[in-house]
Amino acid sequence: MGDHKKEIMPGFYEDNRKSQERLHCTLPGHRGMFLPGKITGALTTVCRIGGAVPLIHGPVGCAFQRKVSVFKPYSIFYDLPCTNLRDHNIVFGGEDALREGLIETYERYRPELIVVITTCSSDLIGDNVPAVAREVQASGAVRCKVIYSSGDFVGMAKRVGAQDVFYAIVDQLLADQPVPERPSTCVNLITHCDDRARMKTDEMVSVLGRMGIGINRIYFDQTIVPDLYDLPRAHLNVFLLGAPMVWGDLAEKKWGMPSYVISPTHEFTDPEKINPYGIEGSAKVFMDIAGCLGKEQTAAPVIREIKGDALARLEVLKKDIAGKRVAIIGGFNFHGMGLLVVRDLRMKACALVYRTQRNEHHQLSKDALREKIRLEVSATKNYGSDPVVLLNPDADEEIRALKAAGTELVICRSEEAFRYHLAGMKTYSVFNFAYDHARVGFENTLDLAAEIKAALDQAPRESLLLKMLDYDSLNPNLTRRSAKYQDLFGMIREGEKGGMFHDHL
Amino acid sequence: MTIYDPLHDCKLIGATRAICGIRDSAVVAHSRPGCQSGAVLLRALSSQQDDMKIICSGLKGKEMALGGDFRVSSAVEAVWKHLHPGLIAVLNCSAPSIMGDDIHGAVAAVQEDIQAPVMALEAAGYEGPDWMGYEEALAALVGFMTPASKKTGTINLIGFKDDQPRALADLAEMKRMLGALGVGINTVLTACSFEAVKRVPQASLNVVLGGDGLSCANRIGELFDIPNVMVPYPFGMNNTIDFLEKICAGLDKAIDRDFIALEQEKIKKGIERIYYHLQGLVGMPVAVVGEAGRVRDFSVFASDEMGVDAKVIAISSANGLDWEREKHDGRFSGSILVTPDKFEMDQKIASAGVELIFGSTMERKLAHELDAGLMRISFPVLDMVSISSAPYAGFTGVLHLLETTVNTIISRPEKDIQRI
Repeated sequence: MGDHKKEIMPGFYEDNRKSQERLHCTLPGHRGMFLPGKITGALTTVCRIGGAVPLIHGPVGCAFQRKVSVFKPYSIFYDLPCTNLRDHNIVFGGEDALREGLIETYERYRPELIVVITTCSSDLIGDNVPAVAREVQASGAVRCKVIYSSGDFVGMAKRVGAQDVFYAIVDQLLADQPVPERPSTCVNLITHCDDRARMKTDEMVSVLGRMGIGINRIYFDQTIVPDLYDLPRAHLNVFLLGAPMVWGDLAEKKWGMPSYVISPTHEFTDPEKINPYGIEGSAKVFMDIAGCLGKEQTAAPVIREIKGDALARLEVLKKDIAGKRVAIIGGFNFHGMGLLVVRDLRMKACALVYRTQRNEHHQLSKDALREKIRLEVSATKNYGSDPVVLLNPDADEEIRALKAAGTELVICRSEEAFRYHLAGMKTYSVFNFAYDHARVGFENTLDLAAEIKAALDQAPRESLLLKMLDYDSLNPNLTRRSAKYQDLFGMIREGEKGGMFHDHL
Repeated sequence: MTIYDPLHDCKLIGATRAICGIRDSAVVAHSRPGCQSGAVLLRALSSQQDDMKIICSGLKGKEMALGGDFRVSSAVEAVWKHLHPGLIAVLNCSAPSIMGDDIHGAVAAVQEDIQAPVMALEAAGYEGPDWMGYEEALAALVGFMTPASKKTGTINLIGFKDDQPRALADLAEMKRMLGALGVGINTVLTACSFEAVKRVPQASLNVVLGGDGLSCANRIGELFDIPNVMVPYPFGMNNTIDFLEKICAGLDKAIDRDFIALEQEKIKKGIERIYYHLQGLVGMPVAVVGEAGRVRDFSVFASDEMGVDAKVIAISSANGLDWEREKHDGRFSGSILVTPDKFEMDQKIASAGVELIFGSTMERKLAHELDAGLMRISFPVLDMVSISSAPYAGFTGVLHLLETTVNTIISRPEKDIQRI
């Protein structure tokens, strides 16, 4: 086999460049024209654990297609073994294939952990994955831990695949882990399984350290299998995510280890309560964490000092941007940007533009949408803005309204920026904030102020070649044909609820 | 060996690729969302962003117990109502196939309300690899073809895949060359309209590219009395001449040697400009990885005309030809791997000391690890777009292939992938 064998390890190989992300984030992906299944989420999680190997228990297509991640198509799971289920397995069962597959996976890669990811086929034929996993470990044929992600939709919590792998880790891998001794106050930071763990946590680690709160582990940042066994040693799981993970509840039940969610969108819709970013939002998060750990006394002066310093620096930076009229497109809460510009940077929100199709695909009711918009408008008014609200405007109507509102800068998603440029308007792409700055901490607002100032200094690009295409009037970043596919996806998938505000098919 | 790290996809993707080449078609994948998302993503990343074509039937988890055929009917109706395609293909994927959803019944139930034909195909992942899905879908199109009188001097080009790198430029080059020789293309299966599919029987000759679509060509031959000729994918000068000669012979037509001489003269002028580099290519150890319809012909070109040493030739996805025989008795016996496990293929390529891989995006990591160049010549190519008129096929393609090969070697990226 040669030396090369040692180097091949199923995992996540990433071409980690901002420019890659920039060119791929414009794909009409998640719930736009398609929806990735549980395998993608499960893989993304497993492949962030060094020493862990996924084994797809299913036909070849379930492995080959999933090599390309919907979330990051440029980062490919180059090596992804599967049990290659064929029609005879569908009739007679796939347990033998799984048994042999586990043994071969162990022999081939010598991993510390194998995570079996089941598929529609193996789920439907009713293979007893737990029994096979137990058997191969008990017999000594596989001398590493084997856990399985069945995509059972644990706790009906979304991000099914990712959720399920986390759950399997706590429930299966750490099944016998006792309540540990916890000598010093420390937390786990739980991030998305992506490449931005450092960006999201570096400043938090520093501030928490000054507050006397240590970090047990960051999941996932260079995480290896032994790190998983350290999970119960923290006093608190801090989820840097928009919703709790069901495995957090399980961890609390097993080890008395509570969870804190920085952006509790499952509990609130108020933009102030769910926004963990900016100077005010971050100060609240740090105080909340301190509160969970009984560290308020130590934390308060530290936070006050850092916040005061940040506010003083921001005062200088925002001189050139405060009061500028900004239109916010496609969601006030998207990465928390809307609130930051009106609250922290004191810009004036002159227009809020909503395109509700994706919300509808998420089965948000008309009433819920109205309430969401009401809360967001109210939040801007709290900071002295009085924006025009446009609900699913057609492209021309929108541009006219933005110009009439005196818009000086448009904050929008990457895929929409071109058309505001064509209309002679300056833009700032939410992508830049999301990629580099969307984190809890005091520096990100300062960075954002500098970037917005730079965006205001840039002339719009009015000669873009993209103007040559014919766009849909209600989905103005999509060609007419693409807009039909997007509408069809929503309508077919969500039935009559999809297309609630749309009638342009 | 049970575990298998695949270099190819399942029937769904093969069938999808065949149908999506029909410009006015739409595909309904009767599946859970993951299957459709994979198919759409492959299409979007293969430079087909304005025409995703593949719609999910919307099968939900709760329907996995009770059946979801009703989803097929409503999806087909919605697709017809809003897109008015010339052809709708419903592809039954693994989950509903195991559940026993009757997609043929669901299609029959709505067919009379829809003014486009609706075809239903079994495309469950466990039923077979992608090339089988491709062959079956292409063969199923024969059912829509209508008998017609023959147009002399015209051909059907069968086995063309529009998502291969440089595919449309390749097709334009094939048309150019054939046009210069007085050969008309009646229909390209598949890069055509559905009306053109129906007109297939008008051609005098079926031209099977690299062995892809052979079962379709055979069926057309039986039903409409059209002979087949198997041609290489026209990579390089020799394959191109072979391609043209076989087609002209099949049509009983004299070939214009002056045209070929003129084209060769153009190639010569290009070669003169980089001949020192080309001299250096001779004997370079390489691996060639790709789909059956392209990889052998590319290897012949690379070995004979560039002079590289093809240490490993891996057929990532097969077709209807007898590749096992080729493996044992063919010109490249000893070097050919047929639909290998990727792990084992990587081992073999690594131990062969190759300096350049002709392959797909899926060989990117291996190339990085071996510090070898990677030139993308076969599906899936997801990390390069392909929109310009720079073919790899035909006489014009020779210089593009040489140019890209040399550039791949002399212009290596400053930073490549990093392992997490």
